[in-house]
Amino acid sequence: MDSDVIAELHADVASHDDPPNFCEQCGAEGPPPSLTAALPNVGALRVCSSCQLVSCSQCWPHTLGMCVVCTLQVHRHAVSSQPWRILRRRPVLAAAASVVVVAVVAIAMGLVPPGIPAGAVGGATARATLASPAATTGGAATTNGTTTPSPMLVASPEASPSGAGPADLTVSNAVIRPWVDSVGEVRAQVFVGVTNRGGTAGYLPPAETSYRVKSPAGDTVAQGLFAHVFPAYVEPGRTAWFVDTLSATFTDGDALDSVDVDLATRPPDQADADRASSLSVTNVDWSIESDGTVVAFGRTTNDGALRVSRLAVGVILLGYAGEPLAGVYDVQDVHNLEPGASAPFSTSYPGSAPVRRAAVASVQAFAIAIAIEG
Amino acid sequence: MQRSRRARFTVAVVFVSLLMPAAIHASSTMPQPPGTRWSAAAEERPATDLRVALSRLLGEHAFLIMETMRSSSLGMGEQAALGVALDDNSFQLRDAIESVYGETAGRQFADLWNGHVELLLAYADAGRRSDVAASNEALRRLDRYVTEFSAFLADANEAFEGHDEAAALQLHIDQLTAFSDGDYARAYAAQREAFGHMFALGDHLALGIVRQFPERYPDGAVAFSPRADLQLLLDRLLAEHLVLAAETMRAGVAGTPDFRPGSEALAGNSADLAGAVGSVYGQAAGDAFGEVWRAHVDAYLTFVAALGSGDGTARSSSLMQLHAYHDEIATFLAAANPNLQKDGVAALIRRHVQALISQAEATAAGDHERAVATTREAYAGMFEVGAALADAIVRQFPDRFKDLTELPGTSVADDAPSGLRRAPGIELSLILGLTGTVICLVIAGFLLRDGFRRHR
Repeated sequence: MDSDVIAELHADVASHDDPPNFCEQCGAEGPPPSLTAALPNVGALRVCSSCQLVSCSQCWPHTLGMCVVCTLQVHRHAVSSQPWRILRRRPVLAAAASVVVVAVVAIAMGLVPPGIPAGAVGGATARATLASPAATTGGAATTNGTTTPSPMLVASPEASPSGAGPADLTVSNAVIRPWVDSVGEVRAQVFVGVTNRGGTAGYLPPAETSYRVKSPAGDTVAQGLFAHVFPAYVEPGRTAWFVDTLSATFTDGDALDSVDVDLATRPPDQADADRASSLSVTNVDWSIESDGTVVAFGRTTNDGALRVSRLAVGVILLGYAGEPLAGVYDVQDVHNLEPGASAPFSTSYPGSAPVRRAAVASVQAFAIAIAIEG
Repeated sequence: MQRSRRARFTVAVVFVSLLMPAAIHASSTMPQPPGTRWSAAAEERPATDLRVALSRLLGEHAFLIMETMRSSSLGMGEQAALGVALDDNSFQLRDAIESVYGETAGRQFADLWNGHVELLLAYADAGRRSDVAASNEALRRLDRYVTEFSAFLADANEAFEGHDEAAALQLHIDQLTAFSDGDYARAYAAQREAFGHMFALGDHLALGIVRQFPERYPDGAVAFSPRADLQLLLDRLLAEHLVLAAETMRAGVAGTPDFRPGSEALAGNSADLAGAVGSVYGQAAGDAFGEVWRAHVDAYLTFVAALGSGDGTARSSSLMQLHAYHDEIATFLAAANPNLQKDGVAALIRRHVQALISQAEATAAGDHERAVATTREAYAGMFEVGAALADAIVRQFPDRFKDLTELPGTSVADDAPSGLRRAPGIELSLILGLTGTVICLVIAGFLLRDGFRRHR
């Protein structure tokens, strides 16, 4: 039923006109301009030579002239090519990398919450242009942006598929992100990541996987059914995302503690496989509104041979530990989108928790054909 | 007005509370965590489960087929999402038949059932195209389907009768015709009748199956006892509330003229629910419940209207009302029945309202897949609520909702559960008493007349 194309796009922050006067890693404010002019080395913010991310001295590793994220990127590359040698030669780098690894693990384990407070995230509208080429399943996705190497930590690592065995779809991530909206209602976005650790593609039928939100005491305080999953056809090693938003929870945010999932899977049939590469997402862009919620936009192109009459396009923002931060999607009647034709999308639906721009490590975009003509 | 309503509500709650024997409170009850099914529902009751499952699936079929036909005839966008849901419902019905009569019968059923769905949609599509010949052809083939389906049922079980399905088809077509004619009041009346009819059909099928396979369904008498009747009544009314709310919401968001008739149908359902509560707890309590329930419905419709018009202030205030009213409903029910914990009931109502809001927002965004999925899940959830309420009431009034010792001999289809009607024994003694009184009065009349004559 669905055809999925994945475009994994990294947030490119190289398009600042004026660097912000706050640390994009931790939010600390920079010094006043008068102080910077008099004492340029006191409390100054530094701009990463690779990704232009602004960091304070606490978040600056003082090693390669790059921000902590790009340092780790370089470090990871070096480690993979020459294990341990670089660490012996560069103890400072080793220490910095260790700190970052510990921080990432701490975030992943929930010791340090990824930082989405209830209420609005104050400040200016942030905006990022997506640039790097897509990592794809199906091989059809492209972007029209510039194709610079990813300046950001890849936040959606591929799982290692286990050879040529059957699909093994398991829940790898179940997260609830509550927030208080502009009228004071406690809302929550629910994410469930499902990774295929098997050797062949698997399928997640839409509207069959349900979830229950539990309180710290284990009571069910909300429940729902995921009507959409991005993508439904999951290649080996890839992760699909179920996304839903509770528009009114009628409870305190503290009562929304964890998510239980009842996962429904089935083997894909030939139609699922044939249609898996009929759509691609291009020109993906996103911004953060004044209340901190995410708006995503871009174009969906029909790369298949048949007309598409209805589609869903989803955009997922991920943090540095690969955790989902926000997800928006658009379900459109595209009125017989011809092969080769494209259609724009722009959406903040179904509503997402406020996001700090600096917390976003990567963006994934998916388009799914819901109805195909012919 | 507000104060008066709240005052009456409070009086009713106190009134109902005073009626509760303290002994019942003392013996009551394990606290049930919200979200779990109540104790009776957790028992092994295969016949009751069969009865509930068939009614649930057939009722959902009625809702989905009528919505799909309406969408098809009007050329609206949600047809694809509804079609997927309808297919899934048909698969589940096939599985239910297959579990009883085997794979071959399941396949035969699926062929017939899917065929009738296609014919109904073809009829709706022909109506959209004003193609009289195609309409007539669809009707002619539906006639043939009724004959074939009746034969299938009779082959499976001699007790099954095909006329129930024929009546259901007629109601589907009546509703669609009324919708196409713009007679929305008639369309909703047909829908309400069809929905109730499907529950009767489910009862009819379940009773036949239970009689046919008593070893597999040893709890047959329990499945058709007053307590199961009460559960099915509450299931039906709550599930109907859900589907009517979904349809009215869809009309409200789209701004179509069936919003008001839908609201009126919803009010009719609310009155029936209040009547059911009143039949257990007395009219005053039923009236008070009805008032709180209607307020919750009104708040939801205000929310829907605000969503349709993009009025953020009205949306916000209606959400606050929904906050208040679901708490009031929980307070009411927990006060009326000591077997119900307020927090548990509040959790059930809260999830229902969450679903109503999600489906409205999905509809407003054109996300029909999510709207339909949310509606279906919420529909299934109403059967949990019905089971929980029925179980609590049965434990509160065990003498009124006793289990039968043997299966009833006739059709069980009826609007009122037997626990809410006069028991047969009471009815008989009433008749005997009245007859005796009349005989006594006649004899006394004769004696008095003779006495007068003698006196003169």
